[in-house]
Amino acid sequence: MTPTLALSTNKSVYTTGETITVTAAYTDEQTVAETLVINGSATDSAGNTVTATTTVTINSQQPEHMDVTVTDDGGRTYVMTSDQPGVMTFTATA
Amino acid sequence: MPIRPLTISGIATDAEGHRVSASVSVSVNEPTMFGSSVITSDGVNHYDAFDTLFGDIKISRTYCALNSDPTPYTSKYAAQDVSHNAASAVSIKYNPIDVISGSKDAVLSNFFAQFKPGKVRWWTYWHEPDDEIYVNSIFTSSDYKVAWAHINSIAEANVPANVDARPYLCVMEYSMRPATKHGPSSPRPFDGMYPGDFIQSIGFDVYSGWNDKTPYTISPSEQFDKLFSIGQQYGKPICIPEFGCSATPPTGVSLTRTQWITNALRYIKSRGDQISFITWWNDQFSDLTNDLAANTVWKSMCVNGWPGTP
Repeated sequence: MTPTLALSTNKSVYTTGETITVTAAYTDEQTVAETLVINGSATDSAGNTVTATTTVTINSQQPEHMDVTVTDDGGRTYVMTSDQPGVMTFTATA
Repeated sequence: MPIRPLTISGIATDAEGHRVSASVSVSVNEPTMFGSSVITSDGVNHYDAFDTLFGDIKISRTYCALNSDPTPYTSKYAAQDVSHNAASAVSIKYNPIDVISGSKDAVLSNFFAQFKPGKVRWWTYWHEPDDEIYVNSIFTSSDYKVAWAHINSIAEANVPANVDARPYLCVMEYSMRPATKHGPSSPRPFDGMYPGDFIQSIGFDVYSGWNDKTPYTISPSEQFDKLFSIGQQYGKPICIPEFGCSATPPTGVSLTRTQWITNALRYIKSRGDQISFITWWNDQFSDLTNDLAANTVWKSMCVNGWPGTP
C-alpha cells in the first residue's frame, strides 16, 4: 500500500487573525484497514423481528510514525498541536 | 475586504526517508489596513509621533531614495514595523538600465533577504513612474517592466520562506483621469506601467488637488471609480500608498480637509471593493500633526479600520 497523506482544515474561509487548524492524516504500507459490519436484531414478545446494520472501519495496525511539516504560500509558521498515530494537527494564525 | 487564496502544503516523511505530499486550499479575508508614511531622510523615529497622532497604525509606508542603499529600512524601519506588529509598504528606486544589467543584483538580493516575518511586507519598484515614462522620457515602458520582472525574480529567490512578501505597483491616480477633467494633457496608459500578473495589489497615489498650481476639487466618484475599474479589470485588489490633502481648499470650495477625507472614505467604503491598504501621506502640505479634526478621523481609521469611518 502506497503511503498517503491528506490535509484538511477546520474552515474553508478565514479572517486575518483567526486560527487555522490543519489535520494531516497519513497511512503507510503497514496500515491495515478492515471493514467491520455490525448487525443487530430486535424481537418483541410476539416474535416480530426487526434488523439493522452499520459499517465501521478498524485500523488493526497503525502506520509507523511519520514526520510531517506544514507550510503555506503566505509564510506562516505552523505549530504542531497533536501527534497521534496516523493523525497530526497543526495551527497557525490566518 | 480583499480575499487572499492560500495554499497549505504538507510533507510526510517516514523513517526510511520516503516522502509523500499533499495540499489544501483555503481563503483568507484580509481587512483593509490603514497607516501612514514614514519619512526616513531626517532619521527621526516617526513611530513615536504616530503612536500619539494616529494610535495603532497597521501599516507604514517607507521610501528608499533613488539609487540609495536600503540599509536604513532594513536596519531600522523594518524592525520598527515588527515591534509595532505593523505591515510594511516599502519602495526602492534604481534606474531600470542598471537593474536590467544585473549591477544591482547583490544589493537587491540582500535587501529582500532581510525582510522580516510577521505582517505582510508589501514592496514596490519605482513608485509613480508616470512622469519618467510619459512626460520626461527618463526610461521606457519596456525597460520599466523588464526591470520590475527582474527584481521580482530576485525577491522570489531571496525573501525568507517565513515572510509574506507581496509586490505592489504604484502609479498616480492623476494619470488615470481623462484629459478633459483635471487630467494629464497626454495619455498615460495604465497597461504601459503594469509589469505583470505577479503584482498582488495595484496602487494609486491619490491627492485632493487642493495644492495644485491651480487648485481644484473633484468628487470621490470621479477620483476613485476608474481605480476600482482597473482593479476589477486586472483581478487585483487596489491600494492607496499615498493619500493626502492640503489644509486649504480651493477658492469657492466650502469643504474642510476633514470633510474631504471623510467624503472620500465614505465613498470608498460604500463601493465595497477590495482595498489592501491606505497610507496617509503625512508630510509637507499633508501633515496632520496640527490638524486635530483631520488626524482624529485618520486615527479612527488606523485603530478601527472601516468601522471607524465617520
